[in-house]
Amino acid sequence: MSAFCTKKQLQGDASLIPTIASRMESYFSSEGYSVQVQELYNGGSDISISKGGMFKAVLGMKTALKINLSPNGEGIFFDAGIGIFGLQLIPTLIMWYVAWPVLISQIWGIVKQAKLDDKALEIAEQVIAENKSHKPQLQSVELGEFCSYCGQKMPVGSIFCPFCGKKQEQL
Amino acid sequence: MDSFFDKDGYLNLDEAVMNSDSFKKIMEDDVVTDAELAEQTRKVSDLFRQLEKACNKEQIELIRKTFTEMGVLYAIYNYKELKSI
Repeated sequence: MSAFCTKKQLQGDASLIPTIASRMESYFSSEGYSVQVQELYNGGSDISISKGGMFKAVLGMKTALKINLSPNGEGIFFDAGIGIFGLQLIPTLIMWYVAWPVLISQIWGIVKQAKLDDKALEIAEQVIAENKSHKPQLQSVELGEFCSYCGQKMPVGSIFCPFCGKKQEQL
Repeated sequence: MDSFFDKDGYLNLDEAVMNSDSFKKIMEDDVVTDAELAEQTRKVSDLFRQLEKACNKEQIELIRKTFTEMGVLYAIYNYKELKSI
């Protein structure tokens, strides 16, 4: 599916894949699309998004926008393209069907026009950004005196040492 | 079918394929035999000969161009797919 697809490596934790899939399912369902989410063995998810009239049945099989989210190195690989529902044999036949390149380019054109792939990518990036902003941030602390018991350097104004817990004698 | 396109503007040849007696008969057992392959090849050859008889020179040229360009698209699409593996 390399000719008609949107691919991007996202810098997010792979544990976010179910959340991204769920967010996509909610959004596209609310927009009237039929959405199917399938969890994969590699920790990824396949999300199929279709709508009557927008996607064409080819050789009797429903086509859909298929989004694959897979763990990839330190991030998540996003891959959206036109896919097919159904059993193994017929989809394989469709790939060999001589008019398939014409049809896939027509269907992909409609997907691009509706910006479905862009929206899916935007949702994925949004979830990743939200997660980053919710992570506890390491705050820079101004260090001052040394603990008179354990010798560690403590933040300025500490009454108790954060390392050994001993109360410091006020000077 | 008096158009190559459906109401949404999609090429509708696959409907013709799916509803053809040839496809239905060959695929009913999910097995394609050598005999079925040979028979379908002969059928396609015969149809091209019929076309030649039924069409004038200009029409034959248009048909040839259509099949050629479709063949080019099919070949380059699959070539690109293979290259991306």
